[in-house]
Amino acid sequence: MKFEVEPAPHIIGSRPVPAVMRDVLLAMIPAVAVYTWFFGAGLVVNLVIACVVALAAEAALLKIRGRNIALYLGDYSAVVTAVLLAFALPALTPWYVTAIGTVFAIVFAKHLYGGLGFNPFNPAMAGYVLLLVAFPTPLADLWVAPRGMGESLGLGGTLGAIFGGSPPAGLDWDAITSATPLDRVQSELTRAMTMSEIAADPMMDSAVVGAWLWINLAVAAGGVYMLARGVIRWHIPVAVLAGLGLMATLFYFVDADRYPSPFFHLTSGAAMLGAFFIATDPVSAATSIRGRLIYGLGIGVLVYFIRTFGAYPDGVAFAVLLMNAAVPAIDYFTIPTPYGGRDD
Amino acid sequence: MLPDNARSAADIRPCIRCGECARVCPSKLLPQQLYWFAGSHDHDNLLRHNLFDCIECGCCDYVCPSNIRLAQHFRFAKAEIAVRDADRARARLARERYESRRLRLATEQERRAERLAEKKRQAAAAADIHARRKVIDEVMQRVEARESSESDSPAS
Repeated sequence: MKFEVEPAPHIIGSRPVPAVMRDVLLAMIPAVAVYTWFFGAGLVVNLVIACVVALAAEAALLKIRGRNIALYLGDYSAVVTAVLLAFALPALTPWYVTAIGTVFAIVFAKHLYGGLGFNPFNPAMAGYVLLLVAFPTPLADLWVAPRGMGESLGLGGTLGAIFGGSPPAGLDWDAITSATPLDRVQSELTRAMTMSEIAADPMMDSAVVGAWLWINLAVAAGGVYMLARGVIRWHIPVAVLAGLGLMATLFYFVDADRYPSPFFHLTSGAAMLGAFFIATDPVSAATSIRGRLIYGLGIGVLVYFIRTFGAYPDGVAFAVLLMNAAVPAIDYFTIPTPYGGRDD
Repeated sequence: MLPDNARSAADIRPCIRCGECARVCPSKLLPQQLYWFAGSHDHDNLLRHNLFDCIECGCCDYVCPSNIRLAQHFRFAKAEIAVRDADRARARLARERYESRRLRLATEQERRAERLAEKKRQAAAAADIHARRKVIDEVMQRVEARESSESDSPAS
């Protein structure tokens, strides 16, 4: 028998990459469950579409690139990308939109840069931004009204909407969809309404705001699970939430009628998803501790500015991609001083 | 008899830059960055990231979820840089020796040329003295000849 001969260490103490990715997927379960409870089965259908397309695209690209398909397909990274992208899309997104975004994420944002570990941009967010720019209407209008508001679709109606592109007979889109709180607040503020007037608006019913609050809490619970398992470290999520929270607090104190509260900002849209699941993608994040704090703060601040002054109701995807682009510069300036070195 | 967590080269994966290696590094380096630059033989960046502060303890190997042989990459990169430095030192020495030899040869050539020129000048000067002396001698001979002819003739 021939043994491999190599220097120490001869044992490893880590969980391998597939186990790490599996933990990320497990951490998404509460968020997916809460989302499905409030907004129906659309998310699950999207998840299935995105996962199937992602695995197919991943396998095809690995084959073209002559890589070990079984080894790389088994690392679940394509599934994580698919789940994060599908989770970011409205529940009734047409199937081809989800598929195009997933293919773009896997083929262009991931494999054309060299595959797992080499992508400078977060693949899920690159796919999402492509869809946001190329299919603005479905991505803005197909947000389902939460449980208790609007008509319930059922699985059949959901499948019909996603694959057929039309609402069930006897219903129109307006009866089943409803603007997200962030969207609502932005369009009403543009019409010079004050926050207190918007809060009194029936469209900002506690059912809508509450649904997004619960989803964000569920996402945060998944994030805490990942922190406890050591899949992610606290620096990036804390920095993202601090950046967003501090900006929101500052503007809220300046004029509470024109700027929503920090609590609303932190529990709406993709705040928690961005902080715990998107920004923490290690491949496209900064490397050193100091770099990660800067990176996270930058994302939080950018999210606030895009939400408040930009054309889009939410800004996580753009903020993450912008800070991804800044990572080489951040890494360049945040090399830690080695042990015994002089701090200067 | 291998333990369950024995390391095997079969499942090495790409670095996902999770940063666990940086967390455990006793020298507070960024192994994930060093690994990147070691792969691209970017020696300047390896030195900027303090490669030679690495003590090759292997803690980064132990925690790496991608099972990468980080310490081996660093050992190799250090050797590469040592070889490069030795090559450079040898090349510098050779250049210095070549340049000092060229300078020496040039100086010698110059000195020889100077000596030659000096000799020529002296030879020319010497030739000059001979010629003058000849003229003087001729004149003196003529004078002598006239004086003797005058003394031979009757007193006038």
